[in-house]
Amino acid sequence: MNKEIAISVKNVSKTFKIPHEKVSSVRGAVTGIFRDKSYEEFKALDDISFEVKKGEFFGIIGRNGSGKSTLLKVLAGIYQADKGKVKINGMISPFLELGIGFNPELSGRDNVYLNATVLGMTKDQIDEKFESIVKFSELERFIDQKLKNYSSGMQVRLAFSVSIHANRDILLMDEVLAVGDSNFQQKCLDQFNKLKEQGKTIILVSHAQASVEEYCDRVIMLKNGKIMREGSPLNVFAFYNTSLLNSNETIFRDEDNITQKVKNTLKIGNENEIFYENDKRWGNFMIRVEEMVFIKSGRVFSTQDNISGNIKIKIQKRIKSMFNVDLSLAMYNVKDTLIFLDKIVLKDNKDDYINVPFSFKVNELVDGLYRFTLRIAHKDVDKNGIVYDHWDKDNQIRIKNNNSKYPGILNIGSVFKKDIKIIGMIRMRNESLILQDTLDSFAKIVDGIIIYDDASTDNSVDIARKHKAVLNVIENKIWKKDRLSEETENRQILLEYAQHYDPEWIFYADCDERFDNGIREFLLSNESKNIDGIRIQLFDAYITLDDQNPYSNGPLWCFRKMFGPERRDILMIWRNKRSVRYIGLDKREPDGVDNIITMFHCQHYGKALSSEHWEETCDYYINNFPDPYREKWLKRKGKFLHSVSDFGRELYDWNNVKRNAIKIN
Amino acid sequence: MMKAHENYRELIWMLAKTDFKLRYHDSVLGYLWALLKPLLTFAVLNFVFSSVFNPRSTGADTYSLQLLVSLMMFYFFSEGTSAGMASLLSKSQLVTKIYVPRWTIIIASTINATLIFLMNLLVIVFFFFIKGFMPSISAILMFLLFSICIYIIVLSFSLITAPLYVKFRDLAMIWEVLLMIILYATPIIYPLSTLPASYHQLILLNPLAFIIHFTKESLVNNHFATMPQYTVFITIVLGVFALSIWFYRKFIPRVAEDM
Repeated sequence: MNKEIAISVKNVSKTFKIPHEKVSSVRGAVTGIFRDKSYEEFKALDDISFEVKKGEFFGIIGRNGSGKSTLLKVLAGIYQADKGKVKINGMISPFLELGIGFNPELSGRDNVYLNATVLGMTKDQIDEKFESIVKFSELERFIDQKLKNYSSGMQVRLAFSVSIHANRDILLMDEVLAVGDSNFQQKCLDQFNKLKEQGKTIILVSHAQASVEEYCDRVIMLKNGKIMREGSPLNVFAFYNTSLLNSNETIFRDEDNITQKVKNTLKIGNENEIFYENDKRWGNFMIRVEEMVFIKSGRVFSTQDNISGNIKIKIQKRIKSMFNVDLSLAMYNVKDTLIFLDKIVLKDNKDDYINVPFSFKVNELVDGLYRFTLRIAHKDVDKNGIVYDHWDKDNQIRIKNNNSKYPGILNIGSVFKKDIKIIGMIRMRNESLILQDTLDSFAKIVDGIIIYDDASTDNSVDIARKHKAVLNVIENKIWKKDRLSEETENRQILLEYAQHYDPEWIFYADCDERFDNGIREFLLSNESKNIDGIRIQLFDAYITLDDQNPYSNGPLWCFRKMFGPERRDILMIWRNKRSVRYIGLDKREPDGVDNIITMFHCQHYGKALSSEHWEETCDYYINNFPDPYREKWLKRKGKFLHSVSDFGRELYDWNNVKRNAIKIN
Repeated sequence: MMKAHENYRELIWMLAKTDFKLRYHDSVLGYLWALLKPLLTFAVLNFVFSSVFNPRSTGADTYSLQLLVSLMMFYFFSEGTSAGMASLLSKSQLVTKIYVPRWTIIIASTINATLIFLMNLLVIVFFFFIKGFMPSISAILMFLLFSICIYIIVLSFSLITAPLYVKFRDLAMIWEVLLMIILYATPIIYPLSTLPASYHQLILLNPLAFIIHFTKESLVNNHFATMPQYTVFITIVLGVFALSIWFYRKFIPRVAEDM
């Protein structure tokens, strides 16, 4: 045999004879002689041939009943093929089940020796590796306790540890990784990679597309005992998925559902009866969940995915009124913590089957396995106890979240705002139109934003709170009449709050201001070392005859073509010092900043968002400010279209306005 | 083809050791219980047959020694066959979830009975010592040879019945009844001489009866079987053993499917 070939399978067939009546007693066998023997032949494997090279990670996929497990058992030597040849070149270790031979009455230590011997290790080898086996399983303290005192998780850990240490050349695995908590799963996956690096030959039987695609070099797909496809995981899965679609069957079914089908003939009771089908399933089964199907093969979802599918319900025995029947769906994590619960009243369509589609997203859940509890019950189940079908914590899915670093339920990112070098401050009132863009563009300059909301009546606060860069929103619910002093006070409150974060720089901006690029880079560079404050040159944008579309969304920067040449230099950025304060009436600039330079530019859209906005702004000043402000804005009302600036000067486009600027403050 | 194992001896020993631990819970008292069961039976039978009934009719005062030896041998046989028959089914995990040569499981299950028998040998030696009775060297050797023969019979029986038991679960009940019949059909509690001479040859065709009868005769009376008798006996034992191997080979490949 070629040394590079680890496993060679040639024309292997395996047929099972399934008697219609199973004879399991001598009496039955004796009396059966006089009867016609009737049995069905089931061809589990039909002329299978393939080769697996040494060091290959080889996948076998296929639906239930396609022959995967039989093939694995033939490879392991548990079943003998009827026809054909199986050649194995090397030591084989079947992982068909973990902890074979484990006995609950023996200590962990004895079980390690027993299991390892069964897996083919010699006593010397076990002695040598014993410490490492125990260490990997993290059960040092419990190793001399009886196995029956272990939790199931501990048992699996011990079993996996032994299996890994058996150190065979060829490993056969039958979805053993579908167990254990996520930490342990990760450990197993790491071991997978290690085994792969060590050049072990691994045969993996699975229908978890994700793990097969991640690890396997080559895959065969079985259907009705025949090889339908052989090749790269990508190609084979493409075929697998389409073949499932074409066969007019649901895209993914798991083992539980199949066994469910078989059990369908089980008892159906009356409303006040309860049958236990197994420890996970009980009810009177007048109505029962036929299956829960996910519209994605695998059952591995990312946090961005819509987890959607269909719950198929069968009415086995009509009840008087369906109006009182609820279907609830609950999701649990592996620690049996309830993640969510939702209910819906079943709609009676007079058919025997009801389909209930579902769809949800789990943006922030941590990586791990999750299970569903499905329950069909009377809406007053607490009083009358009528449960049609309760299917407890089954139908497992995996949710992948690459960002989860720590355990818990949610992955909400960093809780501690570490290292805020530049903090942004905004005072706002009813800015929902532009706020999203304001925060997006401001967040490119500053590390975090704090906002003073001056009694907004729209959803500005909601927008602000949802934004990632926003550290906090200070809400002022009551609006005093004296705007001039209050605006200054608001800014001082912001400033004091900002100083808690101990930033290097503080940047105050209004919502309708947009800034040049390069500010952040400048502030963080050495060039700003000797500067304590920056005055930014602000220009007003204007609505003109050929540029009067109202703003709706998108970036505001350069939204208008024309700007007035009047330039106001405003101290917006300063180095954080205790001595800096806002004092006085209507003060945009704080006091106490020396070494100020003037640089960068700002587009001010206060007068240029839309005609309606212009009118609102006029009304705001007219109604709330004393003269001369009131008088000035009274004149401007109704005059949103500009051909010259409010100061009577010619308008320029953005590139030219900076050159023709006239400083006005 | 299958190279999953190279250390069959260790595997068998580990399985047997586990069985032993589980059965007697790893306690000293547990091991004593293993000895106590045949001893108590012996005490009762000995009391009934040598005291209540007329001891003259049951034989000489060596009756209790003969009863002890033959009971121990019968226990070896009955424990060994019962465990061997149930071996594959009781270790079904090792059959259906992994490949280990199935004969290792069967052999391991017979080891337990063998160990208890070996411990019982000490009891036998002790009783002979108390009675001050010294059998001849050739009788002792013959006894050891017979013991090995019992083991071969136990093993043969297990190789045949272990795969069958997987299919026919009522075999255990049937065997229990048969064992009781064998207990009385074998000259254990009574000497062969109490039966009419015309039956002797027929009864001695049963290897177990042959072993037990001639063990008693040789140990106590230093009386051995004839050469032709040995020839027939050995032929039967080896024949049964050969048959059992053939049977095992025929039925074992599909045993996992029947579980």
